[in-house]
Amino acid sequence: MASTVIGAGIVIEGEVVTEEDIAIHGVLRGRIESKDAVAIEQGATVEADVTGSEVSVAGQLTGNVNASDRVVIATGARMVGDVKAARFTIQDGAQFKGHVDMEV
Amino acid sequence: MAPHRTESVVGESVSVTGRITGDGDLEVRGRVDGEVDVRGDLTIADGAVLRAALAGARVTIRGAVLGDVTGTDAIFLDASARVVGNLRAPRISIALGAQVRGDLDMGEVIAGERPAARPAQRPAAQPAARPAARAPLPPARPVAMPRQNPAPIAIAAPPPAPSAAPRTPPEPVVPAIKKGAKAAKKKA
Repeated sequence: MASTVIGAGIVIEGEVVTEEDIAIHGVLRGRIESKDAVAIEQGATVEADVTGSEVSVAGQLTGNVNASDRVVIATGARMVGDVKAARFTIQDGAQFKGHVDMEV
Repeated sequence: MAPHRTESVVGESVSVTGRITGDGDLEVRGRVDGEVDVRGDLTIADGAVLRAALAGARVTIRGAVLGDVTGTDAIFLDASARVVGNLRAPRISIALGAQVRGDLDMGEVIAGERPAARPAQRPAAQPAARPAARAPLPPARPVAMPRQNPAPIAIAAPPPAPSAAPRTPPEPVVPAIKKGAKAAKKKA
């Protein structure tokens, strides 16, 4: 389990900065910055710019993602925003609208 | 109340700036600057540093908190707790070794009414509202109440004064010279 878990009933308005991995099941508006993995789980609603090593989206994300390693948009996810990452995966059934920059 | 959802943890290296609200339980091991307001139980772990107003059903503190704490059910301060702020809950326990600076209020906390959770918005109104809520209590505890009440009222009294004072510009220091006075002097 991730060292930080934002449960389904939790709403955060503001900035979250961490060096460890973080999993979000609830609602977050603002900004997320992690040196490790960021997981936006199924059912989560995130309106924020996200920075992390590995960012996986299974819920709803509105905002830009900047990942040092990779970004994964899972089946059932809905994302609107720009992605900047060396590796980027969109699984079948995911919705995505935005710009992709893989530094080619 | 809705059943508690996934337990939430704000990890040790995490720093949150802003507001955390929710229905479920929450454990904070990192830093929070702002406000934490949950319906479930709130646990502040040893090593956590919070500069925030806290509200929860049962609030357990083992870390450092700067801000008012409201528990609709209870507040538990463990031995490692360091709190600067006012505590408000029907039940408050303080373990040997815990350090506290602030007022303690064990008057009944009405569910949904959480004045300590939002001190930034109306800091002046808070002390004034408290004696009113306590009003029915004095007959039951006549000794402690009269001594405590006057102080908050005295603090609350000054703030309305500035708004009540009429805003008139200050009198001019230098007497105004009439237009054309200088020219008239030259002519003469």
